[in-house]
Amino acid sequence: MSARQSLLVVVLAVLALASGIAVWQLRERESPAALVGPPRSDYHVENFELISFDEGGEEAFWLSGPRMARHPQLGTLELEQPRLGMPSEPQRWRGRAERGWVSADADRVRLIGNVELRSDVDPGEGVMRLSTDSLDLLPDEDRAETDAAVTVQGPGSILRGRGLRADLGTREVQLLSEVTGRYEPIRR
Amino acid sequence: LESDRQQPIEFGAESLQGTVTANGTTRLSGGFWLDQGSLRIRGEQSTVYRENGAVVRVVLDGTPATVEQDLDSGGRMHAEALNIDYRIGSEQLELNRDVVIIQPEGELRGQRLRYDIGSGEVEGGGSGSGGVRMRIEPKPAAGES
Repeated sequence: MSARQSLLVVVLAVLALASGIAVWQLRERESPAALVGPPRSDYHVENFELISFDEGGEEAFWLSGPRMARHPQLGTLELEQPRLGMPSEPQRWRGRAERGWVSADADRVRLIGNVELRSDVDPGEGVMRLSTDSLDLLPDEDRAETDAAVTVQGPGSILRGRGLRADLGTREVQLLSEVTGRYEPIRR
Repeated sequence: LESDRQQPIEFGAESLQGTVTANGTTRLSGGFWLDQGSLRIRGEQSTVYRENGAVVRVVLDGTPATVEQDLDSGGRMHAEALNIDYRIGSEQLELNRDVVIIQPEGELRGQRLRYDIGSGEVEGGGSGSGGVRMRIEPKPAAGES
Protein backbone atom coordinates (compact mmCIF):
# COMPACT_ATOMS: atom_id res chain seq x y z
CA MET A 1 0.00 0.00 0.00
CA SER A 2 1.57 3.30 -1.04
CA ALA A 3 2.09 6.15 1.42
CA ARG A 4 -0.68 8.08 -0.36
CA GLN A 5 -3.19 5.25 0.14
CA SER A 6 -2.34 4.80 3.82
CA LEU A 7 -2.75 8.56 4.39
CA LEU A 8 -6.20 8.30 2.76
CA VAL A 9 -7.14 5.41 5.08
CA VAL A 10 -6.07 7.41 8.17
CA VAL A 11 -8.11 10.47 7.10
CA LEU A 12 -11.19 8.30 6.46
CA ALA A 13 -10.80 6.62 9.86
CA VAL A 14 -10.61 10.00 11.63
CA LEU A 15 -13.71 11.20 9.76
CA ALA A 16 -15.60 8.04 10.70
CA LEU A 17 -14.63 8.43 14.35
CA ALA A 18 -15.67 12.16 14.41
CA SER A 19 -19.09 11.47 12.90
CA GLY A 20 -19.63 8.58 15.30
CA ILE A 21 -19.01 10.88 18.28
CA ALA A 22 -21.33 13.52 16.82
CA VAL A 23 -24.15 11.01 16.36
CA TRP A 24 -23.65 9.68 19.90
CA GLN A 25 -23.84 13.21 21.39
CA LEU A 26 -26.88 14.09 19.34
CA ARG A 27 -28.67 10.88 20.40
CA GLU A 28 -28.17 11.92 24.07
CA ARG A 29 -29.42 15.46 23.47
CA GLU A 30 -32.46 14.33 21.55
CA SER A 31 -33.84 12.28 24.48
CA PRO A 32 -37.26 13.87 25.15
CA ALA A 33 -37.72 15.91 28.42
CA ALA A 34 -39.94 14.23 31.06
CA LEU A 35 -43.65 14.84 30.28
CA VAL A 36 -44.59 17.94 32.40
CA GLY A 37 -48.13 19.28 33.00
CA PRO A 38 -51.38 17.74 33.99
CA PRO A 39 -52.07 14.54 32.27
CA ARG A 40 -55.29 14.37 30.22
CA SER A 41 -58.27 14.89 32.64
CA ASP A 42 -60.53 11.92 32.87
CA TYR A 43 -63.54 14.18 32.26
CA HIS A 44 -64.36 17.85 31.87
CA VAL A 45 -67.67 19.67 32.04
CA GLU A 46 -68.66 22.77 30.14
CA ASN A 47 -70.85 25.48 31.73
CA PHE A 48 -71.00 23.65 35.03
CA GLU A 49 -72.74 24.36 38.30
CA LEU A 50 -71.54 22.34 41.27
CA ILE A 51 -72.97 22.28 44.83
CA SER A 52 -70.90 20.67 47.55
CA PHE A 53 -72.49 19.47 50.80
CA ASP A 54 -70.78 19.01 54.15
CA GLU A 55 -71.02 15.91 56.30
CA GLY A 56 -74.22 17.18 57.87
CA GLY A 57 -75.82 17.52 54.46
CA GLU A 58 -75.66 21.31 54.60
CA GLU A 59 -74.53 23.26 51.54
CA ALA A 60 -70.80 23.93 51.99
CA PHE A 61 -70.26 25.92 48.78
CA TRP A 62 -71.35 26.16 45.19
CA LEU A 63 -69.23 26.79 42.10
CA SER A 64 -70.11 27.64 38.53
CA GLY A 65 -68.11 28.50 35.44
CA PRO A 66 -67.49 27.85 31.77
CA ARG A 67 -65.24 24.80 32.28
CA MET A 68 -64.18 22.30 34.95
CA ALA A 69 -61.80 19.36 34.54
CA ARG A 70 -61.04 16.50 36.95
CA HIS A 71 -57.50 15.23 37.53
CA PRO A 72 -57.58 11.45 36.89
CA GLN A 73 -55.14 10.42 39.65
CA LEU A 74 -55.52 13.15 42.28
CA GLY A 75 -59.27 13.61 42.03
CA THR A 76 -58.84 17.37 42.24
CA LEU A 77 -60.81 19.80 40.05
CA GLU A 78 -59.36 22.54 37.88
CA LEU A 79 -61.75 25.41 37.10
CA GLU A 80 -61.79 28.23 34.58
CA GLN A 81 -63.37 31.65 35.47
CA PRO A 82 -65.02 30.16 38.56
CA ARG A 83 -67.83 31.91 40.43
CA LEU A 84 -68.14 30.77 44.05
CA GLY A 85 -70.81 31.07 46.74
CA MET A 86 -70.34 30.20 50.40
CA PRO A 87 -73.13 30.27 52.98
CA SER A 88 -71.74 31.75 56.17
CA GLU A 89 -73.41 33.15 59.25
CA PRO A 90 -74.50 35.90 59.40
CA GLN A 91 -74.11 36.57 55.65
CA ARG A 92 -73.15 34.71 52.48
CA TRP A 93 -69.91 35.26 50.59
CA ARG A 94 -69.43 35.36 46.84
CA GLY A 95 -66.11 35.01 45.01
CA ARG A 96 -64.67 35.01 41.51
CA ALA A 97 -61.26 34.53 39.92
CA GLU A 98 -59.51 33.64 36.69
CA ARG A 99 -58.86 30.04 37.74
CA GLY A 100 -59.72 27.74 40.57
CA TRP A 101 -58.82 24.42 42.15
CA VAL A 102 -60.78 22.15 44.49
CA SER A 103 -59.10 19.55 46.69
CA ALA A 104 -60.08 15.90 46.28
CA ASP A 105 -62.24 15.89 49.41
CA ALA A 106 -63.56 19.41 48.72
CA ASP A 107 -62.37 20.82 52.04
CA ARG A 108 -60.24 23.46 50.33
CA VAL A 109 -61.08 25.69 47.37
CA ARG A 110 -58.28 27.81 45.88
CA LEU A 111 -59.11 30.87 43.78
CA ILE A 112 -56.24 32.11 41.60
CA GLY A 113 -55.74 35.31 39.56
CA ASN A 114 -57.63 38.60 40.17
CA VAL A 115 -59.42 37.07 43.12
CA GLU A 116 -62.30 38.95 44.70
CA LEU A 117 -64.35 37.68 47.62
CA ARG A 118 -67.14 39.83 49.02
CA SER A 119 -69.79 39.42 51.64
CA ASP A 120 -73.44 40.12 51.03
CA VAL A 121 -74.60 43.35 52.66
CA ASP A 122 -74.80 42.98 56.43
CA PRO A 123 -77.35 45.43 57.89
CA GLY A 124 -75.00 46.53 60.66
CA GLU A 125 -71.63 46.10 59.04
CA GLY A 126 -72.10 46.72 55.33
CA VAL A 127 -70.00 44.81 52.81
CA MET A 128 -66.55 43.35 53.40
CA ARG A 129 -64.36 42.70 50.36
CA LEU A 130 -61.04 40.82 49.94
CA SER A 131 -58.87 41.32 46.83
CA THR A 132 -55.71 39.32 46.18
CA ASP A 133 -53.95 37.12 43.66
CA SER A 134 -54.54 33.79 45.39
CA LEU A 135 -56.98 32.84 48.15
CA ASP A 136 -57.68 29.54 49.88
CA LEU A 137 -61.18 28.99 51.26
CA LEU A 138 -61.94 26.39 53.92
CA PRO A 139 -65.74 26.17 53.78
CA ASP A 140 -66.16 23.79 56.73
CA GLU A 141 -64.26 26.20 58.99
CA ASP A 142 -65.70 29.40 57.46
CA ARG A 143 -62.14 30.62 56.93
CA ALA A 144 -60.06 32.21 54.18
CA GLU A 145 -56.30 32.46 54.02
CA THR A 146 -53.48 33.56 51.71
CA ASP A 147 -49.76 34.28 51.89
CA ALA A 148 -50.01 36.80 49.04
CA ALA A 149 -50.49 40.57 49.22
CA VAL A 150 -54.13 41.33 50.03
CA THR A 151 -56.50 44.29 50.36
CA VAL A 152 -59.40 44.15 52.82
CA GLN A 153 -62.17 46.74 52.52
CA GLY A 154 -64.93 47.36 54.97
CA PRO A 155 -67.26 50.28 55.67
CA GLY A 156 -65.00 53.34 55.77
CA SER A 157 -61.79 51.34 56.02
CA ILE A 158 -59.10 49.83 53.81
CA LEU A 159 -56.43 47.47 55.15
CA ARG A 160 -53.47 46.18 53.14
CA GLY A 161 -50.86 43.62 54.05
CA ARG A 162 -49.09 40.43 53.08
CA GLY A 163 -50.46 37.17 54.43
CA LEU A 164 -54.06 36.91 55.70
CA ARG A 165 -56.05 34.62 57.97
CA ALA A 166 -59.74 35.54 58.07
CA ASP A 167 -62.80 34.22 59.93
CA LEU A 168 -65.62 34.90 57.48
CA GLY A 169 -68.25 34.52 60.17
CA THR A 170 -66.92 37.06 62.68
CA ARG A 171 -65.00 39.18 60.11
CA GLU A 172 -61.94 38.83 62.33
CA VAL A 173 -58.82 39.19 60.21
CA GLN A 174 -55.14 38.77 60.80
CA LEU A 175 -52.65 40.45 58.47
CA LEU A 176 -49.24 38.87 58.93
CA SER A 177 -46.89 41.61 57.66
CA GLU A 178 -46.42 44.90 55.83
CA VAL A 179 -49.65 46.35 57.17
CA THR A 180 -50.97 49.75 56.10
CA GLY A 181 -54.49 51.05 56.46
CA ARG A 182 -56.84 53.97 56.19
CA TYR A 183 -59.99 54.97 58.00
CA GLU A 184 -62.19 57.56 56.36
CA PRO A 185 -63.37 60.42 58.59
CA ILE A 186 -66.97 60.14 59.72
CA ARG A 187 -68.97 63.03 58.28
CA ARG A 188 -70.83 64.64 61.24
CA LEU B 1 -56.15 70.83 65.73
CA GLU B 2 -59.94 70.67 65.62
CA SER B 3 -59.69 70.23 61.83
CA ASP B 4 -57.54 67.11 62.25
CA ARG B 5 -60.59 65.04 62.98
CA GLN B 6 -62.09 65.75 59.57
CA GLN B 7 -59.04 64.16 57.92
CA PRO B 8 -58.69 60.47 57.02
CA ILE B 9 -56.56 58.37 59.37
CA GLU B 10 -53.60 56.61 57.77
CA PHE B 11 -51.72 53.97 59.78
CA GLY B 12 -49.37 51.02 59.53
CA ALA B 13 -47.52 48.34 61.48
CA GLU B 14 -45.80 45.00 60.98
CA SER B 15 -48.91 42.92 61.78
CA LEU B 16 -52.60 43.40 62.54
CA GLN B 17 -55.39 41.48 64.20
CA GLY B 18 -58.90 42.86 64.39
CA THR B 19 -62.38 42.90 63.00
CA VAL B 20 -63.42 44.56 59.75
CA THR B 21 -66.51 46.03 61.36
CA ALA B 22 -67.80 49.51 62.19
CA ASN B 23 -67.51 48.69 65.92
CA GLY B 24 -64.56 46.78 67.29
CA THR B 25 -60.90 46.79 68.18
CA THR B 26 -57.81 46.28 66.08
CA ARG B 27 -54.42 45.34 67.57
CA LEU B 28 -51.36 46.41 65.64
CA SER B 29 -47.83 45.30 66.49
CA GLY B 30 -44.37 46.19 65.36
CA GLY B 31 -43.50 49.79 64.50
CA PHE B 32 -47.00 51.24 64.79
CA TRP B 33 -47.66 54.65 63.26
CA LEU B 34 -50.85 56.66 62.83
CA ASP B 35 -51.29 60.05 61.11
CA GLN B 36 -54.41 62.23 60.95
CA GLY B 37 -53.90 65.77 59.71
CA SER B 38 -51.25 67.24 62.06
CA LEU B 39 -51.61 64.37 64.54
CA ARG B 40 -48.64 61.93 64.63
CA ILE B 41 -48.83 58.86 66.87
CA ARG B 42 -45.91 56.41 67.10
CA GLY B 43 -45.36 53.36 69.25
CA GLU B 44 -44.39 49.70 69.26
CA GLN B 45 -47.90 48.32 69.55
CA SER B 46 -51.38 49.67 69.86
CA THR B 47 -55.04 48.93 70.14
CA VAL B 48 -57.38 51.03 68.02
CA TYR B 49 -61.04 51.29 69.07
CA ARG B 50 -63.76 52.14 66.54
CA GLU B 51 -67.38 53.09 67.22
CA ASN B 52 -69.81 53.47 64.30
CA GLY B 53 -66.84 53.51 61.98
CA ALA B 54 -64.99 56.33 63.77
CA VAL B 55 -61.70 55.82 65.59
CA VAL B 56 -62.49 56.98 69.12
CA ARG B 57 -59.52 55.75 71.13
CA VAL B 58 -55.94 54.61 70.64
CA VAL B 59 -53.99 52.89 73.42
CA LEU B 60 -50.32 52.42 72.71
CA ASP B 61 -47.09 51.22 74.26
CA GLY B 62 -43.59 52.17 73.23
CA THR B 63 -40.14 53.05 74.46
CA PRO B 64 -41.39 55.67 74.40
CA ALA B 65 -44.73 55.98 72.66
CA THR B 66 -45.24 59.50 71.32
CA VAL B 67 -48.12 61.78 70.33
CA GLU B 68 -47.55 65.06 68.53
CA GLN B 69 -50.15 67.53 67.31
CA ASP B 70 -50.49 71.17 66.28
CA LEU B 71 -52.47 73.21 68.79
CA ASP B 72 -55.37 75.46 67.89
CA SER B 73 -53.74 78.00 70.22
CA GLY B 74 -50.59 77.90 68.07
CA GLY B 75 -47.41 75.88 68.28
CA ARG B 76 -47.09 72.13 68.56
CA MET B 77 -47.45 69.68 71.44
CA HIS B 78 -45.18 66.66 71.98
CA ALA B 79 -46.11 64.03 74.57
CA GLU B 80 -44.30 60.81 75.29
CA ALA B 81 -44.57 57.97 77.81
CA LEU B 82 -44.22 54.20 78.01
CA ASN B 83 -48.01 53.94 77.80
CA ILE B 84 -50.48 56.41 76.31
CA ASP B 85 -54.27 56.21 76.23
CA TYR B 86 -55.61 58.78 73.74
CA ARG B 87 -59.38 59.38 73.72
CA ILE B 88 -59.69 61.21 70.45
CA GLY B 89 -63.27 62.43 70.87
CA SER B 90 -62.55 64.28 74.14
CA GLU B 91 -58.92 65.08 73.19
CA GLN B 92 -57.77 63.55 76.50
CA LEU B 93 -54.33 61.95 76.82
CA GLU B 94 -53.62 59.66 79.77
CA LEU B 95 -49.86 59.12 80.03
CA ASN B 96 -48.16 56.55 82.23
CA ARG B 97 -44.50 56.04 83.16
CA ASP B 98 -41.64 58.28 82.11
CA VAL B 99 -44.01 61.00 81.00
CA VAL B 100 -42.78 64.10 79.19
CA ILE B 101 -45.09 66.79 77.80
CA ILE B 102 -43.57 69.62 75.81
CA GLN B 103 -45.83 72.56 74.95
CA PRO B 104 -45.04 76.08 73.79
CA GLU B 105 -45.48 77.24 77.42
CA GLY B 106 -43.01 74.79 78.84
CA GLU B 107 -42.26 71.22 79.76
CA LEU B 108 -43.74 68.82 82.27
CA ARG B 109 -42.36 65.51 83.56
CA GLY B 110 -43.90 62.91 85.82
CA GLN B 111 -45.02 59.32 86.12
CA ARG B 112 -48.76 59.73 85.66
CA LEU B 113 -50.33 62.69 83.91
CA ARG B 114 -53.64 63.44 82.27
CA TYR B 115 -53.44 66.08 79.54
CA ASP B 116 -56.33 67.88 77.82
CA ILE B 117 -55.00 68.81 74.41
CA GLY B 118 -57.91 71.17 73.74
CA SER B 119 -57.44 73.34 76.84
CA GLY B 120 -53.80 72.54 77.53
CA GLU B 121 -54.71 71.60 81.13
CA VAL B 122 -52.59 68.97 82.84
CA GLU B 123 -53.57 66.94 85.89
CA GLY B 124 -50.72 65.35 87.73
CA GLY B 125 -50.18 62.25 89.63
CA GLY B 126 -52.23 60.76 92.39
CA SER B 127 -50.62 58.80 95.25
CA GLY B 128 -47.31 57.21 94.59
CA SER B 129 -47.00 58.87 91.21
CA GLY B 130 -43.86 60.79 92.07
CA GLY B 131 -45.40 64.21 91.56
CA VAL B 132 -44.91 66.54 88.61
CA ARG B 133 -41.91 68.66 87.64
CA MET B 134 -42.73 71.68 85.54
CA ARG B 135 -40.53 74.16 83.74
CA ILE B 136 -42.23 77.24 82.37
CA GLU B 137 -40.54 79.08 79.54
CA PRO B 138 -40.01 82.72 80.53
CA LYS B 139 -42.03 85.09 78.37
CA PRO B 140 -39.63 87.32 76.37
CA ALA B 141 -39.63 90.82 77.93
CA ALA B 142 -41.24 93.54 75.76
CA GLY B 143 -38.90 94.37 72.88
CA GLU B 144 -36.89 91.12 73.16
CA SER B 145 -37.55 88.63 70.43
